[in-house]
Order: sequence, then C-alpha cells, then structure tokens
Amino acid sequence: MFSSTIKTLRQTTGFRLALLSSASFIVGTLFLFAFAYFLLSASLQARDRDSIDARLRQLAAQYQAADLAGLKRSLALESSIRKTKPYFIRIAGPSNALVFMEIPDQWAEFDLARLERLPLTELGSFMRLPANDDSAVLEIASLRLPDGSILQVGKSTDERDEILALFGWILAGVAIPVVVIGIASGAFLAVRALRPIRELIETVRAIDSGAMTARVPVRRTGDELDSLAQLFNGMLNRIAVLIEGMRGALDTVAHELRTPIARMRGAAEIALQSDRGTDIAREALSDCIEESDRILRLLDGLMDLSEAEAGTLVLKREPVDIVALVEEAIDLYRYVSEEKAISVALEAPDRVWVTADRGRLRQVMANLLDNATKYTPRGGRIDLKVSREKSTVAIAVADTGIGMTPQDLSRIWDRLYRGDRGRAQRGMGLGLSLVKAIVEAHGGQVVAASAPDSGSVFRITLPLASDSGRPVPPTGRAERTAI
Amino acid sequence: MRILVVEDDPKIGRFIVTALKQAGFAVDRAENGEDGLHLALCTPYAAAVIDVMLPGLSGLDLIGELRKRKVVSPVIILSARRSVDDRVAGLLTGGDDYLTKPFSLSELLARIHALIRRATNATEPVRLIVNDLVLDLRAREVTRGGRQFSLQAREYSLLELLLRNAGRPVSKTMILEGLWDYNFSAQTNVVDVLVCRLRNKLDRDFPDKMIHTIRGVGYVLKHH
Repeated sequence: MFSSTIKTLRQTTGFRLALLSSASFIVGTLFLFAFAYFLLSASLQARDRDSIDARLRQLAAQYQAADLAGLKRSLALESSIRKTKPYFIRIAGPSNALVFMEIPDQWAEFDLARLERLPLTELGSFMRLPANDDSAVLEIASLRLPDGSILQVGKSTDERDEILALFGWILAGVAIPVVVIGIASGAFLAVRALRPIRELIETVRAIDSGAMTARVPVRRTGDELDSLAQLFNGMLNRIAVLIEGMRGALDTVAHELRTPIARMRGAAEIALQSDRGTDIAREALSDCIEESDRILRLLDGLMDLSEAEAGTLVLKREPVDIVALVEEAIDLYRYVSEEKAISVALEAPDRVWVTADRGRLRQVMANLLDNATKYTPRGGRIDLKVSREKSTVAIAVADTGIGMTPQDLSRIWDRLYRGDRGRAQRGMGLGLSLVKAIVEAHGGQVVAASAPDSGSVFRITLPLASDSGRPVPPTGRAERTAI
Repeated sequence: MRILVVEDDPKIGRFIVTALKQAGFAVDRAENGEDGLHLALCTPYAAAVIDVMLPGLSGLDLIGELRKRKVVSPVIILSARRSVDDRVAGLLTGGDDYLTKPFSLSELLARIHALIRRATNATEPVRLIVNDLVLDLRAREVTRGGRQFSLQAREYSLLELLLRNAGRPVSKTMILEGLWDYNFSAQTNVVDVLVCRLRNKLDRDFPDKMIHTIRGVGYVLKHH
C-alpha cells in the first residue's frame, strides 16, 4: 500500500520537478563548499611552507655568521623570549648523523631516526614524515650548508589540520539547513508551477464525469500554462456549440422524419383494415415507397449538409467551366420552365474556369434553379448572369417570383426552414443550407436579396482558378453524351 | 441465366431473389462470403449481386478473391454507405456497378440487364421495336404505326432508355442519371414533365397507351 503510494508519487511530474530542482541546488551548494575547503587547505599549506622556507634561510644565515654554537645560543634566547618553539630544527653532519635537534611543543610521535636514512630533498621541495599514529605530518625542508653539514627545518601539520577540521564542521552546519531549504523550495516551485496543470486535469476529470460546463480557471498571467488554459476553454466552448448544433439538428431530423413515417404507417394500416381488394393495397404500397424515398432524400441531404458544415466534405476539385455548368443546369430545368411558360435567359462570357467540384456545383445550380422555377408564377422570367470579376466569378440567379419577407430572408439558410409560402411547395428546406455550405466549402459566398412579390436574387461568388490568367485546359472533363 | 446473390440480411435477400426470379433468372443465394465464394467457383454465373458487409469474408474481399481466380462474371456491389470513396473502393476491387441501400428493385434489375448485355457483348441492335413503335438508332427516327414523330434530343434519349428496358420499370433516378448525368435527386418534377411531353407525342392519338406510370417506382414502356 505504502510502496504503491511511493510509486505513484514517483511518477508525478511535480515530484520529479521538485526532486530535480532540489538535487541541482544541493549539488551546486556542496560543490561550492568543497571548492572553498580546497582553497583554504591549499592556502594554509602555502603559508606554512613559506614560513618554513624563511626560517630555513634565516637559520642558515645565522649558522654561517656565528657557527653552530652561536646558532644554539640565539635559538635558546629566542625560545626564552617567545616561550614557544613552533619549528622542528635539525642539524646533521655531512653524513647525515645527528648533531643538534630542537623539537617543538605539542609534539606528536615521529620516527625521527628515519630522517638519517632518507635522501635529502632539493631546496624548495619538502619531505613528508607521517606521525606514528597518522594524526599529523611533519613537513621538512632541507639545506646543505657550505661546510657540508645539513640544516633541516620542519613544521607539523596538526595546527592547520585543526583549522580545516573546524572549517569542515562549520560547512557541515551550514549544509544541513541548505539541503532542507533546497528540498523545500524545490517542492514549493513544483507545486506552484504545476497548479494550472492540476486544474486542467481536474477540469478534464469533471467533464469526463459529465459536468460539461466545467472550465479551467484562468489567471491572466500571460504565461504558457495560462494560454494553454485559455485555449483549452476555447476548445471546450467550440465543442459545446457543436454539440448544441448537432442536438438541434437531431431534434429537427427526428421531427421531420416523423411526418413521412406517420403517413407511411397510416397508409399501411388503412390498407390492412380495408377489405376492398388489391387496388387500395397497391395505392398504399405506392404511398409507402414515395414516403420512404422522401425519408431517403432527407437523410442524404442532411448527410451532405453536415459533412459540408463540419468541413469534412471531400471536394473533388478539377477545372470546371462555370458557364457550361450553368448551361447544363438550365438545360435540366428547360422543360419544367417551358411548361410554366417561364422564360430563362443567360448572360455570360464565353468561358470562365474555376477549380471546383463539378458534381457539388451542379447540385448548387440545380437547387437555385429549382427554387426559382418553383416560386416563379406562370409567365415569369428567370435571369441568370455569369460575370467575371477581378479574382472571382459571380453567378446571379434572379427571378420574378413571389419573393420573401425580411423574416424569411434572415432564416432561409437555416436547415429545414421553410417560409410560410414555401410550405405549400414540395421540398424539404435543405436546399439553400446545402447551397451555402457547398459554396463556402469552395471558399466562396452566397447572398440573397428579396422583397415580397418582387422576386429574389441569389448571388454566388467563387474564387477563380489559381492560374486564372489563361484558360485551364479542360483535362478530364466528361463530355455529356446523349444516350 | 443464373445469378448469384450474396446477402446476409434475410429479408433483403429474399426480396432480391424473388424479384430476380420474377424477372426470369435462376437464382442461388449465399448468406456469407465463404459460401458465396464456393458457389461462384463451382458455377458459372451470368452476374452476381454482392453485399459489402458480410459476416466472415467481406464482400470486397470476396470480389477480390473471385477476380484473382479469374472469375469474370459482372458484379453489382450493394452497400449501406453512400460515400464516393466507398464507391471507388468497390469499383477498384473489381466490382462493375454499385448500388446504395435502400435501392429500388427495378433499378437493380435494369443494372443487371445492362451488365449482362455488356459482358456478353450482345450485338448492338439497329432498331428497338415494341409492337408498332419503332426507334431506328442509326437514322435517329421514331415511328409508330408508320407515322413519324419529330422528337427533341432529350425526348429521344428518354424513349431510347425506356425501349431498351421495355417491360421493366425505369426509375426517375435512372432517367436523371442517364439523360443529364445528374446523380442526385432533383426535387421538382423535371422527369415527370419530360415523360409527360413524350407521352403527349407518342400516346395521345393512339387508343392503347404504351408509357405507364408506376407510382413510387417509375415508368415502364410496354404493350398489353
């Protein structure tokens, strides 16, 4: 149980961050301490050796001036005045046999007899004679005097060892609070720096458990984690809007499906209850097929629409001559308009090439013409105009139909909306939303202008093909052929 | 002619089989891909109708396997998904045509006839004749009872489509696709208006009508 807690703790970023920052702080501090210790020890040694050297030269000078007896005298005088004998002094004959030796106070046990066997060192370098119990080292400088005898001056390291030991204790005393402060500040920093992340995690958990309105608290500090929180909230808001939209669409669809299904069910039920033979049954079955086709068209339209609106509609882009495309659409509705004695006129340049999805644009044009012929009374006109502008092509469809009220005009792009006058006509109210979605998926725009009883104008603008300066060769263009 | 139907849904399978039998075909039905493969390897079929979503060996795998083993019978793929990518995938695997569920049986029949015609390289007729109605494909002339009609291009195309499927209903979708190459459902009565015009020319002055409307299904050209 405990070990598993430790394990999860070890896996948290906060713990790692704290560990890393405390460790680097502590290692840095300890390194500095070690460096200071080394510097101190080196400078103490240099000071000791300098003083040994100076003493050696002083004694050599005295020896030369006043001989061994004079030197002994002056040493005795010196120690009586000073009351201390800080240096080890040894004078030996030319064959290193002991002549005179002065031993300082606080003397550790050194194997001084070894000095007679050790070779002499050069001036400026030191021989090191460890004490018998290893508690100190005697550092000795040697000098051969002009008369062949040897003068040696040494000093024990125990004095400076004491200073270093004291310094060590002081450092240790400082290091403990430094380590504690390091760990504490590391933990504090980690906790503080990771607070926005923890809040993010809590928000996601809340959303996961159903609280869709949960949002990450934003502090407006302007740092990265704050902008992460803001972006995250923005994303959540967008998702909420999408979900809301889908829920709305689903409601409408469910509602729209109920009507044809009710008709279908009713027709079948009446046919079942009737005993007037096959005619009524055939009638009911025809009704059923018509209604199921209607449901199918509704589903197809909604699929297209939601794909286009969600931006997942795959456009099969190719060079398309807009003028030819409009002519094809006019051709499709020729007989319908002739039947209603509606005259259709097209004003267009020779050819205008755009890069677009031919099938989808056909759908757009067919929908617009469908509306125009549907809402234009007998004997009216439909005027189409294709005009090439600087970097766009505009397609306008103007009719002399029943027009729309401003209320209708503001809602025609909504899916499944049908104006009061539109309800009398066939159709599902998906056409214009689909037109808008497809045109916008192509990077274009569609606008409508209308007033009651004075017709409507729908105007589409599409971006021209990228290399619009010259006509794009009509590669892969399927020629229409009559069967 | 014998046709293989591979469809796991019992109701859909049953009505496809019934419709094909009524149209005069002999039919074998398999409920999964493995059985379908076994049947197709043993019997030479004039055509096969294969559903994409099958338990075990999927429809596309089945078609791939058939093509690998040099079975060349034309195949119509049935699918509940209507995206262009699925259609392309189906045709690339070796399918010859693609129908999205729900589909009209008359359309399925018309497509099977067209595929068989194409596969057997039936010689292109010079004239299409039903009773006293004659369409001369070379001269592009239409006569009924010896009387010549002048038809506009679309009217002529529609009549040709109806004659080629004489006795079988032709759906509005097929007419839209065949005549205008529009493969989505136009909402107004584009097709009805055209059929009405053709009827006015061909049937008005004759007591026995040849172009009949089957409500909910489409139009059929036949002689009683």
